[in-house]
Amino acid sequence: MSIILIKNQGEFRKKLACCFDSVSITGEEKKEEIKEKCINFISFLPIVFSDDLERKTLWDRISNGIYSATTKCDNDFEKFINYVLEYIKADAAKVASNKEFSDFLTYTVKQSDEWKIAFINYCQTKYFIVVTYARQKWEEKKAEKGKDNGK
Amino acid sequence: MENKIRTYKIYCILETLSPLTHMMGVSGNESLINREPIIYKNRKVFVPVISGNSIRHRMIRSAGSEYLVKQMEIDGKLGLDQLDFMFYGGRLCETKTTTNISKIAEMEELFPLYRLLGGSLKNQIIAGSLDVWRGLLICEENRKTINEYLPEEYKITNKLLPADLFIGNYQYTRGDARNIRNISSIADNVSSLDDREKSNLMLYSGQQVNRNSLFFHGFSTKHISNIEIGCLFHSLQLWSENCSTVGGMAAKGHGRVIINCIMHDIDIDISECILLYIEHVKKNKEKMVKWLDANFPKKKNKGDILDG
Repeated sequence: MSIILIKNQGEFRKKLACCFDSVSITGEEKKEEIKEKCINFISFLPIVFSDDLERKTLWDRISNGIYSATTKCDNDFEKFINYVLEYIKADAAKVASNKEFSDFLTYTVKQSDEWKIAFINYCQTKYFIVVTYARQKWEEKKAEKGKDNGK
Repeated sequence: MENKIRTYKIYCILETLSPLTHMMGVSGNESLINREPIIYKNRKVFVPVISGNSIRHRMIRSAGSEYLVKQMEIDGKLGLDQLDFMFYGGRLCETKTTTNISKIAEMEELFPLYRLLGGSLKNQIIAGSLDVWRGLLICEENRKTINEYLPEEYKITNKLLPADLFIGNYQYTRGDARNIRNISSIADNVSSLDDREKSNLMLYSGQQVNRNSLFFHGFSTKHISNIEIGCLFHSLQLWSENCSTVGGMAAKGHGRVIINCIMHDIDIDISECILLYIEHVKKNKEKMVKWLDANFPKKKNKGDILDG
């Protein structure tokens, strides 16, 4: 018979196992935290954006990089970060010496797998929003730096 | 086997083997999957759904009727009204409606498939005895509802993944003949084509329910015999064997699914019931053809009238 017959509760649970959620984050606080970290990470990207690329394409390239990285990384957080940096041809020396970025990595290393998947998922499903916020943040950072330099 | 008249509940899980595109509409050149609004955590959310209408037609009526047509050896001989009744449930077309119990009894005895599904003769509607449940995506938003359907020991206690994880996108391209290399060797009158003319390459995209998603659905039957339950499973089996699909774009490989039936509280041998149904059809096929011809007489074509 070509219909699969599920004869007991065990078989039923086995069939459903692929839908069980052991990784998603539901707490509102955690969601806010992930959003903030996404914005921080993306707002750091203009610093390491390659000089070989047209500066006018900065945000276009960043948003495309995020989107393509989410589809290529297979939910691997480190791969995701790497793909994004690769897409904007980030300068490895600038990345390695950036304190903001190394603090971000130190923070994320301590996070659970579900946190990391939620981070990637947030970037994928809300990438227009996150890029907009990141750009705002980057403008603020620039303005602050300008003020500091003026003092 | 004792031929009991019983009421059954059959719980099923549909597993998608390819992207499922059971659509609800189009926005520009993007197709949107069928979703229903539900209230979840005091909010309205939209969750993919497969309509009972679609399940009923694809899995039962279409598969079961094709089998009957083959068995009755009436391929190519069916009148339009007969075809309409068998494959789409028929329609009322006489001005006066009636309730002819003996006619209903005759149909129900001859055609277990239409006793299950019901249908419309020209002057009366016959209710079926099969209720088809909508296909609910197995996701966190639907967990409470699915648990309402399931028997106590099958209730889902684990948290499920949210619906949006099961939704993805597809994009296809339709080429443009103008882009064919050496077009002039294939097509006629192409000298007028302007080289600078823009290509008409068509991109079209849409939403899909991703592969390996699960839908919960089911059937409930009211007071049916072993022959009818055999008929139900026989139709499901035929549908399943013939590259079972649900939704649209099967031509592009979408909609392929497998069905899993939960055998809870069903203490009869389904294979035996299927054999009973096959026997019934073989034994009654001449009577079935006669009944169809009597209730849906074929219209004479113009040639017949002139000859007559």
